[in-house]
Amino acid sequence: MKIRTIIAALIFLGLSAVKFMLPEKAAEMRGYIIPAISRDISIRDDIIALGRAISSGGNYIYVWEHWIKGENEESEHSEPEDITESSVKSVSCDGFMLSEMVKQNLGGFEFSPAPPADEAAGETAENKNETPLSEQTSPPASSVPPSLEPSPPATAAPALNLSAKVDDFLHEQAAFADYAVPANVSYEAPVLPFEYAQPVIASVTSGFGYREHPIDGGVRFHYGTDFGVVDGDSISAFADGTAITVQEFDGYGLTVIIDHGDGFSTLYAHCSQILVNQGDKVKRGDKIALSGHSGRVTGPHLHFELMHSGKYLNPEFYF
Amino acid sequence: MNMGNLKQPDTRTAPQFRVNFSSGFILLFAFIYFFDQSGFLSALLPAVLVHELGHVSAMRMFGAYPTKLNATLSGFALDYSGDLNERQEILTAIAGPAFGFVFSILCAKTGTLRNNEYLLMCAGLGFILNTFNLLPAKALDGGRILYFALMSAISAKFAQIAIHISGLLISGLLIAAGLYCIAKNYGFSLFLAGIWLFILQQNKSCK
Repeated sequence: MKIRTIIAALIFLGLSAVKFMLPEKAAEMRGYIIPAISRDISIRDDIIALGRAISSGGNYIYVWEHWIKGENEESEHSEPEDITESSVKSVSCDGFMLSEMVKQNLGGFEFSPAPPADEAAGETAENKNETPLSEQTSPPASSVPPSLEPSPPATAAPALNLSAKVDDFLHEQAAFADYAVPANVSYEAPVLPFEYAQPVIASVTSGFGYREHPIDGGVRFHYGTDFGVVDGDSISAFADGTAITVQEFDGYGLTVIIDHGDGFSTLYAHCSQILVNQGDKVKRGDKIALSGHSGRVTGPHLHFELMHSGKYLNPEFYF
Repeated sequence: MNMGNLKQPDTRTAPQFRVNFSSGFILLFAFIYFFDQSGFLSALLPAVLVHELGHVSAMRMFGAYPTKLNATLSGFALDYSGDLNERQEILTAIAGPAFGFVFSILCAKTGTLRNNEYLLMCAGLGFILNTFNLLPAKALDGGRILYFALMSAISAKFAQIAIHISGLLISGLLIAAGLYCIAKNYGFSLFLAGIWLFILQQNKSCK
């Protein structure tokens, strides 16, 4: 038995040595073996979601739905699947009810059920009377070198427009009044302290917030905005900043995160190629990646997130 | 049920406590550590330690001394010196998951307040560990609870047969559920847990 223990200890030391001294080799080995034995679920996210569920009296149903139905159902619909990371944050943490927020914000409105968010038809964007994407200040989309001159300044939307967008959004989300707003989400629309521009010229295929899955009918929270692009479309930086993360994640695929300062950051996921390195300074409109379908998706699209001090904001307020 | 004294007079000096790692455990730990990219092990360890602390605390309360912690492929097992009656055995077995659940809740609350993913992982993993441990199968705390409850209510022989059947049923269900998960692309974890539990049912009795 001692010999077996010694052999086992030597194997342990060997594997640890490889992991520490040859990290690239170790990553390569894991890259071959792990996909063969793992499936598309992000177990880590599930465990974190379970941790949140334990602490809250809230939306256990979502966690249960997520575990039963998973993130890997092949959608017959052409729209992209929700990403796994969304499930981590969807569990209510503080019992703050969407219905309360709706009552506070709508006040005086007669509630009429909003149509379900139909991402395929792109109703969300159209119904909101948003400025058509092509008219917004945005960098050129296709194979154009990163702009060397600053794009025309994208002024922050007047307070009135932001307020109207927030109201429209809340009106739409009123259909999900039974679901609490996740604690790491804010429905506010702060005025951004910098100039910004839409990262791609494309329509929104899946909006921010609660939505009903078109196939299984489950309700899920979407932490970003999906843009319908094809593989290889240019993705531009939302605003000036620093690429703080360039990495491949479970679910998100090839991802770049840009820190814009003042607590604001943006995330660009499912890319096919990242064109910047970690630590690079970028300007608004600089080409930072090419779109793709990496990670857990069923089709190419850009998943774009906007965060401020750890809270997810609705990017569509600014497009 | 034998309602013997919960606390026995402590007339012994505390024996030396040892930790024993089997070769199988070291191998298993090595491979998990190598493939662990998400920090599972670092989050699982506190949950395991608190779970064992629960058992040790109950043992000490009843006058027994833990003598050895065995880390094997079948998990962690505590040997002890001293006499525990059935009720004390049951309470000692319950103490592990009880401590574990309290730890999970504390980690969950703190992790949520501070938005700390590590604490949330501790909470989630601890919850899974302690829930799994309550299954009525051999080598698990649930099996131990069931065994001693049946032993005191009926007989040791009946308890052994019952726990054996229960363990096979539970592991069979886990394997079936695991196969369903594999078919649905949910991963191998549940299937492996079922296989592991099934193998453990072939081992000798739980005391």
